[in-house]
Amino acid sequence: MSEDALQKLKKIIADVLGLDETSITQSFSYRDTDRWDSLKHMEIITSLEQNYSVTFTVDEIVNMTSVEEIMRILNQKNAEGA
Amino acid sequence: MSGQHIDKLSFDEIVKSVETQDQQRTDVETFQIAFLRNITLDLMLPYLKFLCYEENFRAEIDMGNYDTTLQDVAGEGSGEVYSTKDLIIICLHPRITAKRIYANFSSLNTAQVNEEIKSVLGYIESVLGHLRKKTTSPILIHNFELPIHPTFGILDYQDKHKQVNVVRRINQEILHLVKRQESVYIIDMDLLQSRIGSVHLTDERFWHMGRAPYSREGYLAIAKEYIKFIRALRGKKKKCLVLDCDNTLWGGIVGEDGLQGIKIDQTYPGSAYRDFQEAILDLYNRGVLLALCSKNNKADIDEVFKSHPDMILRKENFVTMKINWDEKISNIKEIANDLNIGLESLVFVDDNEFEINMVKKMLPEVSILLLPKEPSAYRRTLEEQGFFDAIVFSEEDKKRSQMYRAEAQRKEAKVQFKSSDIQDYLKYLEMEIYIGTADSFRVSRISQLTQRTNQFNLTVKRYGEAEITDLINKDGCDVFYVSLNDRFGDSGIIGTIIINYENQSAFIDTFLLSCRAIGRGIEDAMLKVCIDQARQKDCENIFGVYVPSKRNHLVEKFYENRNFSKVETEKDKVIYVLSLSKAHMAFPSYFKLIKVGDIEHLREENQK
Repeated sequence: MSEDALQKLKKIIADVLGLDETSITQSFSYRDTDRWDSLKHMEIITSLEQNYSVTFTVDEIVNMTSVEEIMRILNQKNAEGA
Repeated sequence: MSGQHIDKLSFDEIVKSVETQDQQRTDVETFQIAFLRNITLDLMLPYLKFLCYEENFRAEIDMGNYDTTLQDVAGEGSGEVYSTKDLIIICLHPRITAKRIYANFSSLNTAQVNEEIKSVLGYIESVLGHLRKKTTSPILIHNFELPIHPTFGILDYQDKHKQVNVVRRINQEILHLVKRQESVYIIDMDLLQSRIGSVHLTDERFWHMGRAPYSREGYLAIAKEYIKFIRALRGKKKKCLVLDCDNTLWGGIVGEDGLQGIKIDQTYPGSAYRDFQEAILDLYNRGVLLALCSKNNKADIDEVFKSHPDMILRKENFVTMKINWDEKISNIKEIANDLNIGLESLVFVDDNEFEINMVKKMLPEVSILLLPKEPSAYRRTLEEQGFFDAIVFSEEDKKRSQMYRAEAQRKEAKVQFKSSDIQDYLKYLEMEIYIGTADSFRVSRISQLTQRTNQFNLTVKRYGEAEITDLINKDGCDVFYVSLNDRFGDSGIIGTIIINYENQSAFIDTFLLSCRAIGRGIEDAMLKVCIDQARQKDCENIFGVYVPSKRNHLVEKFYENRNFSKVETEKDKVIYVLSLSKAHMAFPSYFKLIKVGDIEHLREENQK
């Protein structure tokens, strides 16, 4: 995982959740903040799909609960810029 | 303002733009919306807020609870929540509201289907009924999108008792329910689904994950529908379509290609231009004013209208034509001036990007429409905007173009009179006005006037139809309408007065005059009626209020100039009073006839 790609992903998640980028670590997950609720999760997915031009399956969406997992799934899909 | 068209922005950019505008645009008027829903709609909000900012409103949205619609509206104390809203949107999704019809249709027999229909409609009726008891605010309600792959497949279409036709029936019944209430309007989800396609409207993944049925594209399309209503409810609909000629109304350039060379006939590309003209003619018939603004020789354009056999639009359809070699900016300003309407009421259409950008930059209030390269897409480009959408279509709308043409004739006649002879001019017009007590037939026009009138409007209070009906029925309140007729034609209802009476005082709540009736002294006859009414009700004083807005500077001194004295100046209003014992006002003598209720004034004097 390149540093640039990680930075881009962190920024997307930070923006949606309204958090500071520095507070998003690689292991950051929905358990680390009460802002990451089901509605925000949909927003994160929406934003990722537009940013990376991909479409996730429901299984993937359900599993994308941390920065690491999201990165793993994006890589799996060979998403551009991930 | 973001300045960017919403279709070109990503979801993130829209969210960000809304956040920025939330912080920066604290001065814009708010528009309060409450939702009643049984689905997740939150992803729609950024789109709706963004579009509201584009119309210079800050949307304040109360999402309500998930799937507690009936409890919410029937509950004690919820009245206050709904009575203060500018709009209530009921979004009951068919897959939940009519679950058995959508999910288990094949297991139902006819009796069960009928039972189900009854129960769905009963539910909707009761939601609407409870809500209407608590608020007069306008209500939007979604109807049901049809199941796109109905249970019995092709057999479904053949049988009125099968799924797809049952849903069609439910939609018809929803329309009937809505028609029984005032100020309730349908969001036609079925039509929306046809327009953008089910594949684009929905996203099954989010439906299964969180009862969020729609896709991003779907939410945007729905928000755009809401905006058409919001624009109409706030009187922000456009009034006049300003059209270019060459490569807009016809293909080619008449000055170069000649009358025979331009493309307007039954075969492509001429047929596409004809199609576009048909759409424009529809708008004309709906009461939209048409104006031409073209860099051309006037004789060439006249020749096209006069002699080209395939033109749909006629010269008479246009209320004004600016055909010259001047800048379009100055011509557009003149059009607004001629018609006495604001620049924000205009939509400028051109195929030339340079002209469009020029107008966008120099006259940002004017809405612009750049036509695409492909003429066969012209019609759709114009129609999908919904610029001229209204929620009522009154007699006045039908006659509007005629009335504005009459106004142009009045202006022409006025030139013959010197400015010192204004009274002679007014007399020459042979004006007859009628001031009557409002009844149910006048409600929609009166509501429309309160929403559309910006210049001669003392308090700029906007009323929906249900609110006007309430005022008409209220004790201690009079609602009057004013209609006007003169030698050039019937102007219909052009004014409204609302007066409240309390403790021997009369309060003028609303006093307004349509822009096409300004400058003819009608306001003095109206004020005289206010005074007479107040006297009849044994009032001692009559109070008037001026609430300044961006556009009503014209009437700032209205009361002051008529012997009212200032009582109080508050931040957002000035209150005036006139003691009725000192009030001496006669009807202006330049009218041919003033009829108030059944009583006629002036006719005899003028016949002497």
